[in-house]
Amino acid sequence: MSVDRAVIESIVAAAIAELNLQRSADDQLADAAEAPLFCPGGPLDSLGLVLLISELENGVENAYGRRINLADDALLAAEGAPFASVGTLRDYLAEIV
Amino acid sequence: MMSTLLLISDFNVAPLAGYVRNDAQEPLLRVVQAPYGLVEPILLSDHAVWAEVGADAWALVWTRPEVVSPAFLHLVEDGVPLEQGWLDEVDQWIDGLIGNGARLRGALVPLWTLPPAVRRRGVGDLKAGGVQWALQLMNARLVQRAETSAFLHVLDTPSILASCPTRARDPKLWLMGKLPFANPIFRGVADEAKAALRALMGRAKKLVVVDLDDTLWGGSVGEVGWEALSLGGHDHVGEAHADFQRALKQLGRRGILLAIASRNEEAVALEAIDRHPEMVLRRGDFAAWRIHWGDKAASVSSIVEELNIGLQDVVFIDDHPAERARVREALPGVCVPEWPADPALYADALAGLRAFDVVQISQEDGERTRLYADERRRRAARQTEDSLVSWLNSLELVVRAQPLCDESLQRAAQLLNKTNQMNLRTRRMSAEDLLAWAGTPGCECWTFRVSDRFGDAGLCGLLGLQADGEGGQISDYVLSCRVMGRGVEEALLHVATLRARDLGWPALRVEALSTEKNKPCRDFFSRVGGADVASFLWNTSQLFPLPAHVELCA
Repeated sequence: MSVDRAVIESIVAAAIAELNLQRSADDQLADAAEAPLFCPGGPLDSLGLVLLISELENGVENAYGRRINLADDALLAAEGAPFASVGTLRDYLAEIV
Repeated sequence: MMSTLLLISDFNVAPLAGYVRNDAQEPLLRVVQAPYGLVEPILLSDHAVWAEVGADAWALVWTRPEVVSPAFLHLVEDGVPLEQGWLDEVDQWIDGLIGNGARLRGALVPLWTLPPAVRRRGVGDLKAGGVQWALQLMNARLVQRAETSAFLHVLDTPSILASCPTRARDPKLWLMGKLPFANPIFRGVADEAKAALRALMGRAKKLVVVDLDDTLWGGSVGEVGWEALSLGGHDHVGEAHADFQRALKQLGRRGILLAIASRNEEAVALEAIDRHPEMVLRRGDFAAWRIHWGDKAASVSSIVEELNIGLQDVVFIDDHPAERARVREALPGVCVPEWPADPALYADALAGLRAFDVVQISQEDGERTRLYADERRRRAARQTEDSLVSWLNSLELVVRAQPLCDESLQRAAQLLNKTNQMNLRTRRMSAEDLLAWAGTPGCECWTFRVSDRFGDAGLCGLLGLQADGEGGQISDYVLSCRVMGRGVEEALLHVATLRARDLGWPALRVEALSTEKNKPCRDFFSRVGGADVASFLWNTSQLFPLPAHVELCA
């Protein structure tokens, strides 16, 4: 595993952990590659997605010193969108960072 | 019973609601989130959300300042100059909030802030007519009104913003979710609100038990001797330990008790405390200590027993993870915070606990450590007396009963709201409410100061009496644990029956309300009432006897 991949996974894990502090015990997000996020039937609603995006952008800025933009309409609407699951999200971040 | 926190805001506070709901610290809260953007309709009418809010509810009313004052909104949005009297709008908004006093226990209002984008004249923003100047005046008015209201309490939002480790605001959160702050700020306000409620409910911690080596000072005193400890001086580690001691000393001045649990030779450790020139805390600053090679959990238990407080009132601080784990496992009620490895962070870690917040500080608070030192001498005297009776007779105990007055009000309210064990009905009231209740026809409130030959214990007791159909009843019977077991309990009951007879009440009703912590009080009343339950009717043709060793005066 590359260093960047490990950093990306820790950024995603931290963002999920932060969101879980706001969520009820029976509605916790899992930090596993196959765990769904923002997809039909997934656990995140639009507000949850906004909060996740903010956490991730801050996490990347803290780790890499540069700001990325994850709130792109095309990105959010894309087929197999990066926010569909933890795994797709990690892959997308690893690709753009 | 779980209290309710009603969140009222003009922006989305869903993250705040989540943080408050999930916070495991006391008090556990049921959160009701009002629909956002309806601040005035909710505060000024019977909006449907009130049906979800039962008794015993608090509100957190967090708004942008533009919502409070239309004049301020016009200044921010359009640069319209403020006209004379514009602050009346702030007063009106606060009046509307305070008008909910009948359906809420109190309201928390975070200080109003503006996002960085609201920059108009730069340095001129803090000159007359500038946006920041106006904001400061609004906040000053809020603080001023809170000073004279037992209902209104202000949270220090700028400090939460200043201590935010990452971005406090994210424009994207506002644009996409009507969230003016990032998660750390919502989390900070949740923590601050919980701390404020602990303070308002009288649940602040009462005792800090600290380790010595590498906690209060750097190094092991048994190994290096007191002269070589790292404390104060020109060494940053020594300075950090001195700062930590200063922070503890501040807690002591506010009435938080300090105690030591250390694995050391007692004589060696006490010599360091007495002789090291850079020690900020001296022996007299500690209410108790256990310095030996035994189990620290046992030490904490023993200290708690000596000081007659509950395990839930204690914070245990130790640099060693194993000691923390041991106390955490053996004494689950004790707060054992994770502790930083770097002494430079100790003082901040202590402040970050938010465990010692109080609304008011009474004169007794500042003298509490001395009171416990008096108690140590009292116990020592007890060991030299042959019997309990001769010890009680030797105390020269004086109980001074006085009607509640302005001078005793703050301490009386504090006693009423903080006492758990010797509390018949555990009724909680603000100082203002207590004073108003005591002035109601048919009601009266008495306070009791206790002293003996070892010292003045201050205002330690409170008695509330209220007329009812059969004569009257004891509404409040409250006694500080620091004077329990010396006949003061009986003296209060004597005064209660005396007043009942003087008021022409044929009988005085005693009816305990059971709580998790007031078993000592219920046991006392069961004993004196001669029944299994702490509820009885006392015929006032006979006074409850005053113990012979107690001198009662007005």
